[in-house]
Formats: sequence, C-alpha cells, structure tokens
Amino acid sequence: MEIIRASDVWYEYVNPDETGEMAVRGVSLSVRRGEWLSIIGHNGSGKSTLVKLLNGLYVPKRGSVTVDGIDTQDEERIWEVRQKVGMIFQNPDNQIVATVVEEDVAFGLENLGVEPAQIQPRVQKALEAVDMTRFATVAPHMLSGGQKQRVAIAGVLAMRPDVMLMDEPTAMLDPSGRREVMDTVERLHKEEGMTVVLITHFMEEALRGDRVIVMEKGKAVMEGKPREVFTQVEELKNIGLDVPPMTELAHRLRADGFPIAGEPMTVKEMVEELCRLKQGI
Amino acid sequence: MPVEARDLTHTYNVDSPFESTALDKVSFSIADGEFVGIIGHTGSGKSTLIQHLNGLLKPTGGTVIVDGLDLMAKETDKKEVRRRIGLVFQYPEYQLFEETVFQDIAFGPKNLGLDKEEIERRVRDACKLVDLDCDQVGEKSPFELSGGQKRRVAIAGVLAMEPGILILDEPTAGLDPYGRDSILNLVRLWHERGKTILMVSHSMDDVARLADRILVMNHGRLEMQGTPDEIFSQEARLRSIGLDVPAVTTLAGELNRLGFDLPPHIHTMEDMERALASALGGRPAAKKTEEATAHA
Ligand SMILES: Nc1ncnc2c1ncn2[C@@H]1O[C@H](COP(=O)(O)OP(=O)(O)OP(=O)(O)O)[C@@H](O)[C@H]1O
Ligand SMILES: Nc1ncnc2c1ncn2[C@@H]1O[C@H](COP(=O)(O)OP(=O)(O)OP(=O)(O)O)[C@@H](O)[C@H]1O
Ligand SMILES: [Mg+2]
Ligand SMILES: [Mg+2]
Repeated sequence: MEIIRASDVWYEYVNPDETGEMAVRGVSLSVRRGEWLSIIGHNGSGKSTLVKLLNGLYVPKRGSVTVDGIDTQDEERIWEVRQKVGMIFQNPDNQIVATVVEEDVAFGLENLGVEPAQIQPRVQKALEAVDMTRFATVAPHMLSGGQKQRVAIAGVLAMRPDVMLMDEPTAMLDPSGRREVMDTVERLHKEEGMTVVLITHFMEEALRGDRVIVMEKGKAVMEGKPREVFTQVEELKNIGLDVPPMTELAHRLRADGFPIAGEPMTVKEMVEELCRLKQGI
Repeated sequence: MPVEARDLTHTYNVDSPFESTALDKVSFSIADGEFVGIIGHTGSGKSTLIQHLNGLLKPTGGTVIVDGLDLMAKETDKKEVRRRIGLVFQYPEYQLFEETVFQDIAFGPKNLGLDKEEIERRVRDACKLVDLDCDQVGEKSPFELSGGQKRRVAIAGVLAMEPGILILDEPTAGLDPYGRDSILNLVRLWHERGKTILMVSHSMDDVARLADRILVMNHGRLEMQGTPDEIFSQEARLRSIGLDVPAVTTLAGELNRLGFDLPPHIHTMEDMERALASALGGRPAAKKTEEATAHA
C-alpha cells in the first residue's frame, strides 16, 4: 500500500539557479508503507528539496504530492501531513532544543497538543526504541553525536509518524555513531514496520534499504533494488557517484580477470565468494 | 612549517558547574611537509585541538609552537600566525556571510591588503582548485547554493589566503563522492607542493589512503599516534574507542582467519586488489577473462 505519492513534481526556488533550471524537475515516485527508500545523488541534485516536498514543507510548483491520500497543498490538513511524516536533519545539534533528554523528546508532543497524561508513556517508549532510556534525565550536551542523533530520532518517533524522512542523518558521526544510528533505523524498519526515506552519501547505508533512487539535476535518473542500482558501476561513476566498497573491489577483481560470480556487496558476501574462488569451485 | 604541541590542555567553562576538560596534556610534533590525519570519536577533542593551532582558542595549560613561534609568548604576533595557518572549520558553510560567492572568497585576501588584480587572481585560482565555476556561481548569493557547493566556497576562501599549513576539520562530511574526491585531491596536490596538512576525519578510508601519520584522540587525550600501518593494525582497540578500520582491512582479517595468507597492513582498495591478485593468481589472464565472460 502506498503512503506517499509524488506525481510529476516540479519545484523552483525564488532565486533559481543561473542555469534557469528548477531544483526538482518532474519527479514521480511512490513510497510504499513499510518500505525503506534511499535517495542518493550529487550535491545540488535536489535530494533535500525533494524530501521537503514529501512532508509538505514545500509545495510543488507543478504536479502534486499526497501523503496517505492528503494533498500537501491542502493548507487545512498540513498538520496531519506533518504528523504522518517526521523529518530528521543532518545535524543533531540543530534539532535538540531542551536541556534534558526526555524534555526534548516530549517537546514535539506538547506542540502537537497531546494530552499531558499520554506524553510520558510515549516519551518512554520512543527512548526505548532507540535504546536511550538510561539517558532520559541527562543533559543533551553530555551525549555523543550518535547518541544525540538517536535522541532526535526518538523525538520524531514519539510523534508516531508513519514515515521517517532522514536527510543525511549520519554525516557528522564517528564510525560507531554511524553504525548505531543505522542499526536503530534498520531495527525500527524491520521490527516496527517504519517507513523510511533516507538521503545519504554513504553507499553502504543505501545498501541496507529496499530501493534506491538516484537523483541527478533535479530528476530521478535511476531506480531499483540496491543490487540492481549498484551493479551499474560504470553508469554511477559516470555521474560522479560511488558504489559500496565491496562492489568496487568486485568490479576491480573482475577487470583483473578473476571470475567473481554474483554481486558480493558486503564483507560477508565477499568472503564467501573469495573462498569459493580460492577453492576453485 | 613544523607544529608542536606541548602538554596542551583546554578546559571549557573553568570554575563553573559546566567545567569540562576537552584536551588533557596533549603533546605531539608535526614535521614540515607532513600529512597528519586526526581521528577520534565525536566529542573526543579534535576540533578543540586544531583551534589551538592557529591561536583561535587559548590553552588553559601547555603551549603550541608553530614554525618557531610560541603562541603563548607575549611577543608573538598572533596575526602573523593566522596568516600562515589556514583553518577550514567543521561545517564552514555556516560562516559564509557576504552577498556573493566571489566576495566571500575574496574576503580573506582583501584583509591581507592585496591589490585588486591579485585578489581576482587568487579567487579564480581557489575556485578552480575546489572545482567551482567562478563565472557561473561567482555572482550568486552563497545562500542559494546546495550544502556541498557552499562547502567548496568556504574552502576556497581559506585557500585564497595561500597558507603554509592547511588544517581541515572534516572537510568532506556531507559531500557527494565526486565532491569528496575533488576536495581530497586538492588537499593531496597541496601536500605534494610540500605544504603541511592536518586533516580531521571520520572516514578511516580517507585517512588510511592519505596520511603519513595519524593522531588518535580519545576523551581529550592523545590515545595513539603512528603510521596508518601501526594504527590500523589495532582493530579491537580502535573499535573500543568508537572508531573502526577501513572495510578492506576488515575483509583482510576475515580472509586470513579462513586460511588466506594475505600480507599484513591492507588498508586501501589498491592494497587489497594487489594482495588478492597474488593470492588467487596463477591462472593465465586470458583464461580468466574468458571465464568472466562466460559467467556473465
Ligand atoms: N534556499 C534556496 N534558494 C535557492 N536555491 C536553492 C535553495 N536551496 C537549494 N537551492 C538550489 O536547488 C538545487 C537543489 O538543492 P538541494 O539542496 O535540494 O540539493 P541536495 O541534493 O540536497 O544537495 P546536497 O547533497 O548538497 O545536500 C541546487 O541547485 C541549489 O543550488
Ligand atoms: N564551547 C564549548 N563549551 C563547552 N564545552 C565544549 C565547547 N565546545 C566543545 N565542548 C566540549 O568539548 C569536548 C570536545 O569537543 P570537540 O568539539 O573538540 O570534539 P570533536 O572531537 O571535534 O567532536 P566531533 O567529531 O563531534 O566534531 C566535547 O565534550 C564537547 O561537548
Ligand atoms: Mg541536501
Ligand atoms: Mg569536531
């Protein structure tokens, strides 16, 4: 079942590019309930603009976006849209407002006018979901970047959105913070059926999802399962993108004349394939 | 230009309930022309550390000596130090403020009192280095650019000062692969001209590929320092302090546990490709290609 639909969406900023090009040019896409869709593409290709169109922060110049059947241009129902679609930005520091973790998570609920008696249990549950319960009463500035980003995720989760839009949520994090946040997203997706739209420049993060869209100059130019998209190594390189490290290695070994079979994309898959090759099977 | 830190200590909010020590007796020295990577978990003190190297933050203990100038000595001309050291902040795009991209990049050179032609030359040169088309975006407002484009403008502004030491705080965070490679490439070129580079990064791959030496920060202390080989052979220790090793290094470890006999210190794609070619080798290339085609 579909939760978000964008039909031939165009968007132009007030001061458009000198090239006269719009930031988003005729994108159509549909996000299924429970799906994890990743969006990759150049800087300036329109990814952030596109996701802001998906939660109604921007309304399209042409075309339309619907969230659970509600048109984002329907001003009377925009709060419903925002409630259904939560957004997490790149920098956790910009999203954390309160001086205590649990207050921060409660903040959005208070704004929504949720009944006070309901706030505490929802906050507890959200903190549990990101494994941050023991930090409930801590000051956010005492947390690591990965932990802060998990608090930001809890803030969005507490509002019980149907969809989580994440705009480069791990760009500032160290390797374990990054893994922490991605494991959290994966668990929410798998266990709670959360719909995820993730913008990332880390190809190995996009690998974890169900589907990938490649943006280029305001258009969606490639689309498919991660495996289908990332095996098009030359095409991706031609538009200045990358592939996950193991895909790159497979590509190089193949060019060196080694018959790498299938499409190993993770370390585990690569180990299996290389063992197979070594034993000459 | 050489850089030396001696017992460098920094405590934020001294004598307040929020007092916290972000740097704790950090000592190291960096030789002229070295490329040094700085890694460490978020909050480990990396940004605090490098802001001391151009005198932006004042240590609460210890000192920094840059090119023979002691930053704590009264007679040292702080302005001169800033001129020699270019610091690209973490998320420098938040500090763009001029009306046009051109003016933003020209801001530093203008402050140096250079003439108009020289400023123009430097701005164009810097634009070229960061792969921005000066004619196309020069007259735009920096606020109309995408995140990655803004970053390039900010870096260009520092390069236009033509500093002897270039310090970059996570210069590729948020950049697309092409932008990342173009920034890393320009840093490498700068280094090849004999300039000293310090680069803070969360990308183990980038540091492994580029740095001559690595400083590892952990909770305000200098936990380890050494060559990429020395540092990345300590996978467990790195993981225990929030870090990691490059993906190919993990792969090498796994393979060796399964009886591959790969050489130690595989940290880059090229290392891995070479090691595997010799471990799996022995079959004629032509035959391999046939097999590969047959498989496809
Ligand atoms: N506030 C704005 N005003 C005018 N133009 C803008 C504005 N924000 C973005 N743009 C332009 O719209 C285009 C798309 O930008 P957008 O931020 O959506 O890209 P992106 O794919 O998210 O890039 P990045 O990877 O750098 O975050 C770019 O050409 C950019 O210059
Ligand atoms: N202005 C400040 N006032 C008080 N504490 C600060 C300030 N700036 C940083 N800190 C604290 O000092 C410690 C080191 O911070 P620093 O920014 O140097 O870390 P970092 O290694 O650069 O982290 P990241 O990888 O997240 O950028 C952290 O605990 C941080 O919370
Ligand atoms: Mg963006
Ligand atoms: Mg920092």
